[in-house]
Amino acid sequence: MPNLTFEPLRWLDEPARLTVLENGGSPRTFFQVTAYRNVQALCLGRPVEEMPRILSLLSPAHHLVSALALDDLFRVEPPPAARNIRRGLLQMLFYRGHLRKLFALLSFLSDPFPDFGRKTERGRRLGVEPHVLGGTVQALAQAREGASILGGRADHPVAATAGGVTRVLKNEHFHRLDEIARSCLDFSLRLAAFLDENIWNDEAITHFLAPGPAPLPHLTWHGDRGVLVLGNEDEQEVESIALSEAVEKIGLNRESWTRAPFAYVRSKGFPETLTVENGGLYFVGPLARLSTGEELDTPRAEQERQRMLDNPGTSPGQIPLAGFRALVVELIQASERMVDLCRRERLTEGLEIRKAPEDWGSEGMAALEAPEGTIFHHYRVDDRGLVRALTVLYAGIQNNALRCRTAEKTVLDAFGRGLSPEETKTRVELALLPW
Amino acid sequence: MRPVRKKTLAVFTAAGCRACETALLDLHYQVNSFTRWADPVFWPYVLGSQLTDLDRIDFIDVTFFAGAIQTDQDREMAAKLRAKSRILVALGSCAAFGGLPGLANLAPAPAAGNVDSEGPPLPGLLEKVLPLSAETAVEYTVPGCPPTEGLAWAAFQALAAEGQAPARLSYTDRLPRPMAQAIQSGVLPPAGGVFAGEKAVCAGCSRVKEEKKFRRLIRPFQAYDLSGRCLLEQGLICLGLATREGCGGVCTGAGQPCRGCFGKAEAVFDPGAKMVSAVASTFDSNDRGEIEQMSERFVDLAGTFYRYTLPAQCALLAAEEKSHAEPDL
Repeated sequence: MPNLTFEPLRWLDEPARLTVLENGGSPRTFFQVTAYRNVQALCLGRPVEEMPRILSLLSPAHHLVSALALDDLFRVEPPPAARNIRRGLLQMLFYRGHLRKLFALLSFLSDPFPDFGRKTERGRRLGVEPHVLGGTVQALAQAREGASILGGRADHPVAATAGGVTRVLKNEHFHRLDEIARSCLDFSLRLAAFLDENIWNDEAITHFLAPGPAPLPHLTWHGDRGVLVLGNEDEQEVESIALSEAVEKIGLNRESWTRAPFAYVRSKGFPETLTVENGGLYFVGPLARLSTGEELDTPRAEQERQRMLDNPGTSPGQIPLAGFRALVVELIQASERMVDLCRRERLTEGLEIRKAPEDWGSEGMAALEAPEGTIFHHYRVDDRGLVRALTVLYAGIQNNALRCRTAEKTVLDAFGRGLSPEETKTRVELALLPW
Repeated sequence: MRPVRKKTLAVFTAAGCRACETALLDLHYQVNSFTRWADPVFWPYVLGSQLTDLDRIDFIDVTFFAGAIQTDQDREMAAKLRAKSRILVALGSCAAFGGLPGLANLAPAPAAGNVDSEGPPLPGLLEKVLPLSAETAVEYTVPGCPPTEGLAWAAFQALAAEGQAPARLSYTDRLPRPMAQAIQSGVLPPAGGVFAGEKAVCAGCSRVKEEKKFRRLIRPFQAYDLSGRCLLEQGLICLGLATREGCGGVCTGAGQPCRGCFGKAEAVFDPGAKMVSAVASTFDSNDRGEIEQMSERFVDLAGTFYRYTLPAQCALLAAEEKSHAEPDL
């Protein structure tokens, strides 16, 4: 078996490659992120109120968690309408983020540019019909419109700030948001039914979804209790970490062969072998949230979750198929929540959308369940409000270990089956997509 | 309608996020299918193209390059794509000016890279983050973080579709007249063109400008009028005066001051110098004490005035741009 390099990996936000070294018959895989995010370099010395606009570079949800951290630092409670606008924006981001991954799943065997008889290099046209992809993209466009209305911009929102939001909604926005929310809910239910009938049990598709690695513990944010909870695959709570202790109790370990560090819970230590022992390693994301075993707060999403549990082979475990099904469950949940939030009375409750701070402390922190998983920000500022220290936990570094393990497992499985490098690459890309 | 030769298209992102590529992909599905006019032959994010695939491609009509140059590999890809492309477009603020990643140039240089790594070597890190134009000649620029739909479509319409794609988004009123006319006529706009307006953001901002004077300097976390009045007049540092128009005042419309993601306006030499001049002429006081007090409230001028443009447009620090030639028709 020759050495292989897949660079870059499709649909990954960070520049990354996978190298497989033959290693005398015992292949070694390296999932390497090849560039730094440079969060510290971008943020140190900047005015703390600019963090929401700078850190949206990581993902749009970081804009929202940054605003929450500013609320904490400036000791201000946003008015009800502002909280609802922020929540509505978060649901639009959930919808958009998850649907984009499902679009990638639906299109991976199809040509992404199917018009005018364009043939793929692989010479086959399997997979989903263009009108399904078209409907998916239309729903994506609607969610983007909704995110733009609520956040000012969709990809790098600007509206959330300390004490609330700055986006004044006009009359025409309320009706349109309600329309978008209902349309998104309708589409998510139709998509769930389509996936049930045509994808989850289609051998041509599921052939490409490899078995996943051994389970890792998961981390989730429980805002009602104010704690981050580390749980295991048996839905048991292993450790809970108060928000104020997160910086101290969650560490980052750097390996020389990748530019993304590995987040881990310090009390469990960092394992000697990354892909065998768990130590304090954990993962975040939709499957982590569903792995808590908690019933969902919206009825249609809860029904979908039960369907997922009832289907053999897709119960929450770290297999790619379960990862994709979790996206569908949360897609429905996000759209149900959007319908509830995108109503005029919720977005104008009390009429005030911002409470300007009058005081500030020396540090602020917040956590949020973002589409990609639990995210956390902590800022320490000087007496001029400039950032002097910060900690940002984003999904890429919390799922780094899972991605390494997933890539290794997928490669070894593919080689065991005698699959071609092309097919191996496709399987790796699909396996990494939910994380 | 005359027949249009299908153009080969490449899309690549170096250091940054994926918002620019997503903006382009959204055009294909939501505005007008690309494939009537363009054949994407190299697009790692969407097609799964490998970097080594580029070695097997002889010629590309149009390459949209997003992201800033941060590593040796980014530099190498920029050179390769330049060598193979008839037209190279800097897509988004990172490619055009360095973008948010360029703020890292205000911090100490990064560590050398993986020494004695047990794994395959990682691409070397450059000492400074650079815009694409510092590495290689660029024919056109589409600024924004990310570019707006209308202007991204204008670029596709002009460079790939030769003005013949039927979808018409409202971009022509935001572009300089020669460029808008070139697009509608199906000829290439003059090389070096920027797909954005020439005036400042203020020209397109919906806020009401009364008298360009303010008496107190405030920061965005403080209280101000969220809708209606010009933000600079309320004492916020808003870069609209120095920034190229084309976005339609998206951020100011959402109640946030402009931070300059479209780069400097045509008539501006240095956005930071322009802003210092603007604030000095707008602050409504001749009292030395008041002026000193106001000056003390300034924080992080470099990081604010050059938020998206430090590597390219800070006159003191900017890398030299490579000159461009007229694309060969």
